[in-house]
Amino acid sequence: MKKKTMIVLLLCAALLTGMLAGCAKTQPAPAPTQDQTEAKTPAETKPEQTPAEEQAPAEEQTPAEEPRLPLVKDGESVTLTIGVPQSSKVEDYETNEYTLWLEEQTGINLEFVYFSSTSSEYATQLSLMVAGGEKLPDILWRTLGMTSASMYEYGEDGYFVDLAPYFESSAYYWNEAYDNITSEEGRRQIWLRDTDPSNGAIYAFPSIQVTNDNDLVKNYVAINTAWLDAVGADMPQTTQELYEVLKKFASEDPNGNGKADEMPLVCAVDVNYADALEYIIGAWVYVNDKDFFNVTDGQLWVPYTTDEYRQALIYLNKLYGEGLISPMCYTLAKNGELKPIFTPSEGPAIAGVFGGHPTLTTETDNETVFEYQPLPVLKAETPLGGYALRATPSYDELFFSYKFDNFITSDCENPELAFKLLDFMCSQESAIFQRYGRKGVHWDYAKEGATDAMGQPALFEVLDDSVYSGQNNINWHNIACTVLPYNVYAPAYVDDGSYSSRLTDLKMAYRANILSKEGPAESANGIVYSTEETKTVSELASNLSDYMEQARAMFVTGVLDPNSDADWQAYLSNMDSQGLADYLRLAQEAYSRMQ
Amino acid sequence: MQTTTHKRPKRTGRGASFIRNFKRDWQLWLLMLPPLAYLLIFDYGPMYGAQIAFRDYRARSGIWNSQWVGLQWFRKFFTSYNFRSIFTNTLVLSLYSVVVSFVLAVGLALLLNTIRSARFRKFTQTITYIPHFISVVVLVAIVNQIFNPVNGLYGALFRLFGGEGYPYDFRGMDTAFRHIYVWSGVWQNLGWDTIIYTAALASVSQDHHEAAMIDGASRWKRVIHVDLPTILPTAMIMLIMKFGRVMTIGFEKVYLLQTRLNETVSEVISTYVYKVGMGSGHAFSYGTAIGLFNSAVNCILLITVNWISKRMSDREVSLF
Amino acid sequence: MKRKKRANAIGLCTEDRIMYAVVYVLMGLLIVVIAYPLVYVVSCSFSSGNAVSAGRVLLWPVEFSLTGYRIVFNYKQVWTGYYNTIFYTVTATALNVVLTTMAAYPLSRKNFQGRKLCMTLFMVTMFFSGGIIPSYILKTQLHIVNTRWAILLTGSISVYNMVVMRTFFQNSIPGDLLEAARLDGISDIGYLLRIVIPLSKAVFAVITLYYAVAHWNSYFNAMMYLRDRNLYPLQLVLRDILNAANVDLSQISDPEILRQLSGASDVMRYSLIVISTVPMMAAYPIVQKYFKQGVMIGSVKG
Repeated sequence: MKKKTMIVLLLCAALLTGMLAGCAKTQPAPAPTQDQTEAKTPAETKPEQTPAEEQAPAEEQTPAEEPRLPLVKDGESVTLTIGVPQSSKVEDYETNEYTLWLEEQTGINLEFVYFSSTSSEYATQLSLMVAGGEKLPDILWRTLGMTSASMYEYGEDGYFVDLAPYFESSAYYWNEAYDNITSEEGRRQIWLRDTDPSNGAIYAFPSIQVTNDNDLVKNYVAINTAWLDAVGADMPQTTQELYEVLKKFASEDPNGNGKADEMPLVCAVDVNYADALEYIIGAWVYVNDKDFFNVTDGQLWVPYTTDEYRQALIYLNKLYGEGLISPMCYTLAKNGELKPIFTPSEGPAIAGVFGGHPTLTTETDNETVFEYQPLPVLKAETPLGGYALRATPSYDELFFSYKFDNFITSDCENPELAFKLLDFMCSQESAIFQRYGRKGVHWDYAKEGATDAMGQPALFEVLDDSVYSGQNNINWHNIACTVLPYNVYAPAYVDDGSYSSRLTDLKMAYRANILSKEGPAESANGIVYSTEETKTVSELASNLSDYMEQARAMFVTGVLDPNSDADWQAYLSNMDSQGLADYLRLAQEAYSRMQ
Repeated sequence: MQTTTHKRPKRTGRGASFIRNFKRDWQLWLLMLPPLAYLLIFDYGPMYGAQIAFRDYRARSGIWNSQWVGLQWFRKFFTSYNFRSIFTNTLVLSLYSVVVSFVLAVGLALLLNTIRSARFRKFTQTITYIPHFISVVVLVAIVNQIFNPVNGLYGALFRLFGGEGYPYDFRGMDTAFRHIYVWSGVWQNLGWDTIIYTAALASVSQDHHEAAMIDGASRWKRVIHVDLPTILPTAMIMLIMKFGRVMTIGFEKVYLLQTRLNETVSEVISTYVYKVGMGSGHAFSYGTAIGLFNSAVNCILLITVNWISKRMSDREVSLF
Repeated sequence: MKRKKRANAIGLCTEDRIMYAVVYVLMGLLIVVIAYPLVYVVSCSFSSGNAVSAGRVLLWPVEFSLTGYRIVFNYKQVWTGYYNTIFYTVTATALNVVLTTMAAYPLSRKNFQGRKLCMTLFMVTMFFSGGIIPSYILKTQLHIVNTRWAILLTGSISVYNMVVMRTFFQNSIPGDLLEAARLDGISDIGYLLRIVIPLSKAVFAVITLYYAVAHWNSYFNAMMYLRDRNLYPLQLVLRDILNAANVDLSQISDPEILRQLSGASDVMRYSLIVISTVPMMAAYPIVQKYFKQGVMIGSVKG
């Protein structure tokens, strides 16, 4: 009897659930259809396009006349909702000086919708809002956790508006700033990456920065020149010389304190800009772990399976085995942990060759940092190596960084106005406001003859940089939706011998070091995949990249022996069985399409 | 009780006894009503969403209209390159953690109970449960700092005892990963886990203790023969429940402790899902499918352990 | 006459003495092992940013400074966060405990008609759930997204806690009491209210503590369901503060600023821990009062 009751009751429960589910089913459906009609306009009325070439015209024109400010007609009151990530640095977005200035200039009333400040949470929140059929804010500003793949997906599903027509018709300030980007190749690359390969649409309003300095350059590797003098060696130019110098560091007590506390080579492979081992491998074969592939004559190839790479691993393995490479390379996880090693607060230097960004790994006002000079790009042992490492694309000796993180959603009733607002945010004064604060108070246009850190004429100078040091209500503390060509990025620089200007000089030395050697002629940086391709590629890429890093660590530390053919063959076949060939093929297709 | 001929003959059969029982228990049903209602609305209502695991969820289509793909995600998961190792890693790490923390928590609760000075006991208890509130991020930072060979406590002690250079840095090594994970978890949760056992011990009848003392049992014997059997049923239930969560090991702590050198043992299901989910639009579907798999394994484990417990304990300790 | 080994006030037998010695030593060690990192955390929270990120703090604060606390308390949202968290914790816990008791008590009665069914219904939810999307959709339909109800009505019953309570009722309340109560004509609900609850102070204390702590530490539900800053609980606010302190290199080109900022986040992490933990720490001693030894009021025997 009990069993049957149970079954009966379970059925009732199931029915109940079904009924509830039935109620639930109908709800989301209406939302998509209404979005569908709005989204139809931008995405579908667009003529069939082949991607990048069609977008090139946007560069050359100055179509719009200077927009009349305010953007809104007299007497009209328009409100735009703008989604921003929470930031505890901003006291209050609503009463913020920058907000008020924007509202005053454009005549648009801004209302804010807040999202999380963590990338993965932001992405979750956005997808929940979409799933729940909620009305999205008109503008999404500086989204976090948005990859190209998800951007295309949202766009193709009609949640984001295609901005290509607006770039052609309404982009005034954008073009002004954009024209200051002198590199042709740089400009082409920006559009290339912003365009959805499957339908030629442009969903994101880019944020572009052109900088001179090494924040964006991949590897800082430095060597302690005081120690070189102590052991009587010259700056090593080849890997053999490096080996000998490291041996001397280990045995001859170069820091002179009688204790064997020297670490000949230490870095942090998991910290940005601090992987010295990758740098050294570059003597044999150029590797850029972020890009994974190298390119020669338009053909992609994998450096991690070459014999030259194996040679590099054998070298590193030898050094590790002799105690010249510190195991801490693999256990240090943050910039902060590098500080006591790079610039110990008490006592002399303990690192010989060091990998890490000097401004982040230096103890305050510590002089030890100036003992270090950049290690040269080691001379090519083979024809495939000897190139300088670049993390972001560099054109005309300047480094380009771009993000595609601003969108106009299809819930916006006035996308043209929204676009004009974003366009206005690219104006010169707005861009500098976003970085430093109010004109006349925190910065001002530079006097005649002022130059920046690179010696080029400077546009503006900073009067008060307190904006960054804590919470305030002056600007939004984040740079997004701007174009910062180099002259708008770099403030005037005065060499006053202060600690910070000496540090800047050191950074310039690093930069010169990187630029003294060329990068390879072609690079596979930032290959753009269509939504279809991403389905397969993303997992392949993450697995292979992971495995490559793991295997490298195991070869270097001796868990696997690079000298042993068996181990090496096993490594190669593991790479294959995880889909290396497929990844290569798909990347090649996407790359060729981008040319 | 009076019986009269006017009364209708008692109905027999299943329906009748159902109603009889209902009349007897109606107040209990009334009590059950709000929790059940909550359960049905908020837990069973959304359950239709589990079908995302069998579809290729796209927000545009919603749950019901997303393309049906059947077992595709499961197949993908089972045939993925390191399925075996991530499954094993998850199980081993979790079981190690569960067993160690269980045994130590029960042990500590028993020991604390023997402390005669109430002040010392309270003091110890308070200290031991504070680490529970430390977030995982800080915990990992502390662990990394303490075992830092250059300037952590580990390095300082090494130099204190005359070591040259730096001690062996085991923080990133694969041999150390599981132990660091589990024992830092013990440090964090030991005190907290004992709370429930302490509460259970509070209900040990004094008579039993007195009886045991009269029989000449030492304090230690009393622990074994009086305290332990009292909390054993509670402890077994807790253990069974923990087995029901074995597969759903948290993501954050493993991720923070993971380095290239220990990935062979530190890659667990949750970190795998995180990595694969990033950048692909299918995170929801794939993640839900894997979640279903985890739940199925958890379910099996729980039922098995529950059955074992029922058989092995004389009081038939079981969850249901 | 051979002196019997008895443990009484006069003298302890050797076995007992050894046991007590071992226990005290073990507890001492435990206290040291647990306390050292705690002291470390507090010391870090009172040290300067640079000292913390350089790892110079070993036991006591280095370069004493209140930077961490200052930054956190300067942020006005922290106070709304405290208020919201207290509200959620108190209200939600009350709701939780009531619902849990209402479910646990009937399930603890072995003869309850619906015992197997209800238990199964509860257990299933421990393993299977629809996921966050349908839950979110449900709450959207109920129009409680972005309101306090979304927090209060999520996870209102923890099956885990309910089982704990049920087990306690089953094992610690003797069955004779029920018989006796029946004879006195008390109904089920009356029995629950007048006898079971007063006798179960220990388990109520524990369950209340479990729920309260869970609510105090939670941020995930708030992250999912709340968009209005004024409803944010403390944890969400603190996470935002921590995230903001993480330096984004591409924003700043001035090394001086970079250096200023990079130390702050480490010390803030510790200050945040102290700030969010101290209130909870005050809770335990209160709860502990209910763990008194063997309480059986009145005798039911005979």
